[in-house]
Amino acid sequence: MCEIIESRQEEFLKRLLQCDLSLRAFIGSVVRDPHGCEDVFQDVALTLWKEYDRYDPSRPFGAWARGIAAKKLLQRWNRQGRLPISLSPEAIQAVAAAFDRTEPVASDRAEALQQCLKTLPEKSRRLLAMRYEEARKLPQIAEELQTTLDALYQALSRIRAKLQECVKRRLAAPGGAGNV
Amino acid sequence: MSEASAESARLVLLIQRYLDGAFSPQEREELESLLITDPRAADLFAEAVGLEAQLAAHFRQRPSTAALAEALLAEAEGSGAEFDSAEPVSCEPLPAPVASRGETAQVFVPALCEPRDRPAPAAHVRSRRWNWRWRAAAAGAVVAACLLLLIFRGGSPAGQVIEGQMTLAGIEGHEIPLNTVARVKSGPADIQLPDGSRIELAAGSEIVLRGRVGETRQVVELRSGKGTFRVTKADAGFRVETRVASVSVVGTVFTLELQSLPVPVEQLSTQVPRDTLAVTVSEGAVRVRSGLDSDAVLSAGQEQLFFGR
Repeated sequence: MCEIIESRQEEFLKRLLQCDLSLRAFIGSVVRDPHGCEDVFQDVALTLWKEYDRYDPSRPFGAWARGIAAKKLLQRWNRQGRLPISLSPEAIQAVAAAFDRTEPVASDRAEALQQCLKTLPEKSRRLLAMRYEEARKLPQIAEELQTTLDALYQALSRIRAKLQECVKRRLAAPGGAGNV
Repeated sequence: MSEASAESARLVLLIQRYLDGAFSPQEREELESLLITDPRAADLFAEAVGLEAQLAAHFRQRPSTAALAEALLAEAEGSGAEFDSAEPVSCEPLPAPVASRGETAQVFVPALCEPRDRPAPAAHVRSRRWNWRWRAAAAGAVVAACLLLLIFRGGSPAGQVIEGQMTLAGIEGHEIPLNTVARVKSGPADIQLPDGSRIELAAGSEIVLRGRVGETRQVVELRSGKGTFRVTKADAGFRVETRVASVSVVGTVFTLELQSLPVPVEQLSTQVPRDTLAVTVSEGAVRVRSGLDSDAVLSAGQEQLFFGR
């Protein structure tokens, strides 16, 4: 009996860990406050485990997990005030469906991103590091770089667009992420 | 520029502004409308937020979840994947799934939703082999549970339980990671924070340690119950957040009690439950900021009740 439960746990965790980043990305796309986002993720992770007996293995785990996450987000939307949900219920459903359509294998995407980052100029990589590694606020970065906030938004936007294009190209290339 | 490419450029702009938080209500409506009516716009949005999450994970030197899972599970199977962690983890299996609804147990969560004002987590995938042999010999469930804890820990503990019993994800623990709901199982519990500050929590109380946030050296969220905070003196501030009000201090001793109390409603000749926060200051002074009132400054010996919405 114990062995069955243990293997269920292992199986569940393996599945959860494989879609963890995209699940976080989905929740983070709707809940822009990082603490709120973490709270929702906690709630979702616990519910996934509680409901795991009902999971149909013939369906992708990521889509099932996002479905539950979407329900949690809609519940919070109805309660409001609990935390700021940035998108309407209809938009949340549309984004969940888009994740189902576009979700690539996480490891492939990570590999592609790593390769694409190497192609960026040093200045761009530094800007990304300030934003994501040092978690600096944009006004702080703008001040340090002696530029305007608008110019910073544009620079980041350009870099992300370039990366997105590069990642997409690598994922679509024959042979996968590392090629092109 | 053609109409189609102008629309596409507008969509990209809206998504980027959304990601950077530079967003007006009108722009939000415009983006929402596009997401709902145009699947291609929703796909582009999903790809952009996916990239954002990947960037955050990449720059914080966090191993990809899949790679970490594969490494540990491979090790458990004896195939020798290479993995390194800053410190060993001791853990227990998760409780089995339960059919009942509405439980309030909590699960550890990683701090990966968005960039934050916090140092990077300690775990790294490196080329050097780390000895996981003992784990390989253990049952698969223990490995899996360790996986969860490893992924879900946010680096070094944000608080140590000095006295009393606290549960994290239903499991008793003495180290409280960042951003994890910790509940006092039997109290009172005494928690020490990295800056030397202490929190004494009554039985049943729940807190979340948020760590450093911006210029504030420590943010603690009191979710429920009662806590006495002995805050060490330092230049950077210390803040306790509750759903009723936030309390900011530099160095002082104060007690907060969060309750839902019946409050009379004159028009209805009845009483309704309302969140309240009782603030009692023993030493120094605190500033209380609630959504309803202007800031209040309380000094030693003063006590005041604040109401939530």
